[in-house]
Amino acid sequence: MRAKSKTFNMNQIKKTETYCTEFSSFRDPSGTVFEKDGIIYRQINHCYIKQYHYLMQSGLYDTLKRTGALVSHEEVNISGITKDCVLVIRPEKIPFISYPYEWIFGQLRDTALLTLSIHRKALEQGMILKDASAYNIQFKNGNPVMIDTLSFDFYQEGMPWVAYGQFCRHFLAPLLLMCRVDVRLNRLLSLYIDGIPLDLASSLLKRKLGFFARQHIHWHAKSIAKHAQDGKISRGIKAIKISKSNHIALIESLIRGVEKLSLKNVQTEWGDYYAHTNYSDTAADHKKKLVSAFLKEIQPATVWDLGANDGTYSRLALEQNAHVVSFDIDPVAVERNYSFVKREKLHMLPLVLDLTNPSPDIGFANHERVTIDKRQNPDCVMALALIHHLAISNNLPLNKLAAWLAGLCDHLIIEFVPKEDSQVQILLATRVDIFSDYTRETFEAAFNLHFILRHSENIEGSCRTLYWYERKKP
Amino acid sequence: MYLDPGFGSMVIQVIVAAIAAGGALYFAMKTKIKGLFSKKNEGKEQDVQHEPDKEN
Repeated sequence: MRAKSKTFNMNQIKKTETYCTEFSSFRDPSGTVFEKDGIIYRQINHCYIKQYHYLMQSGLYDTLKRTGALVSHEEVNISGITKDCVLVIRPEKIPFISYPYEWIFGQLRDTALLTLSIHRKALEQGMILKDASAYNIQFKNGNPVMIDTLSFDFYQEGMPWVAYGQFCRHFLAPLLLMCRVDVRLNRLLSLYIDGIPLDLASSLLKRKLGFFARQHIHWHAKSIAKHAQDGKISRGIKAIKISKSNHIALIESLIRGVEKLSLKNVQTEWGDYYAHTNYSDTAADHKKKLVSAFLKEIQPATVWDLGANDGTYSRLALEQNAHVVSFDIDPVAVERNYSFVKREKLHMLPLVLDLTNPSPDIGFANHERVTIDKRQNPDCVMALALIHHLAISNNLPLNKLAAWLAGLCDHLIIEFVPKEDSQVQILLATRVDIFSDYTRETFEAAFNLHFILRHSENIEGSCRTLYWYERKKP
Repeated sequence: MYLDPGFGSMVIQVIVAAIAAGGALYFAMKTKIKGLFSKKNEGKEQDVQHEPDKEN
């Protein structure tokens, strides 16, 4: 008999039924993020109100908002969630919350550069960024934006950058590991919620250092190890001083160093997928027409494209003014997607995700950073040219796949790829065919259990079929 | 400031910031000196162009 597991009781931290504190908002006493009637608010506490007024009156907020660097907000007349609250603001909504271990190299690099440029701008106005967490940055219209309005504090002459260590762990360590060792090492950020420890990064980088990495990772790690017990010394951190000009020189050298980082030309399994598939022009055109027609009927506000590759089909959902999250396991394909989305400022977010082992719940009580389905229930999921990879390459039964997809969305656009398709033949070429259940009939039976079929049509010039399913009401 | 900045991170920051400042100064001086030399060379070229007039 399976033991009943103890789970953290979320009701213990709710104020009332309509107020709900954002679980991960607890480290910084400056304020708290909470949700009321489905809208996200941020309360500003007594200890931070001077910094907030200075941020608004100095012109720093206006400058950062104008350049799209910082999320905009409105002051609202509602009560906060604790007695310490002085003011409540309503920040601009972010369409989909993503985490740094779901970002590709280009996204992590751009978020690092944004953090540094905001800190540099803040210094000009007599402020600093008091933290440099990757979780302070999100994406909107293809570009990174800082969401933590309370991350600023006063600059005092001679003070070093208190967030330098965090910046190196959250940004520099994963960036250097991705471009010098292996592009998949961003996943380490899901194991280490406050960034990759620098001694670990140093040992993984080994001799592939260069002067930039040598200073900020290797020497930095040694200094941390050497001074680990120095809390016992009475002088403490206040004895450490850096002139403003040296502080600025450090930030500018970090910016130049990060700008120079780039991935070597990595060729992955799916890199040139659309150049080498078995779609004729007729088949590709017909598939696009069908997907567009289904989306036009559904009119989704939010769409997830699973196994999206370079986002070719994800972009069809933009025609219906949907926000699209475009997931794929291949970082090269996601990089291509991101370059396009960023340049065109599309209402879309490309992310890297392994559907057979997606982002887990992590952090304190396994509740600080949550799974994708806890962050959003999309109106529509697209699963094109995907099912055979899950069912055959990953031995996932069709009935389990159907149940999983039914838990995600109301509408599903899915492509069945039969065994006679040349792509499936390639998958079966080097293994024993144990998939006697992988047939069109079994597929339809599995999905009809959870969904109502709205329309199905064979794709011209191929042996594949496109289905539009709507989830059955309970 | 709620974050623990870390004493080791602050110590190394003093060093790398000084290196960054030194590097910035070096490149600024290098650019200035190059600029001076290229102005001098322009000046010499103008003198050479004037010489054929003297011969005539």
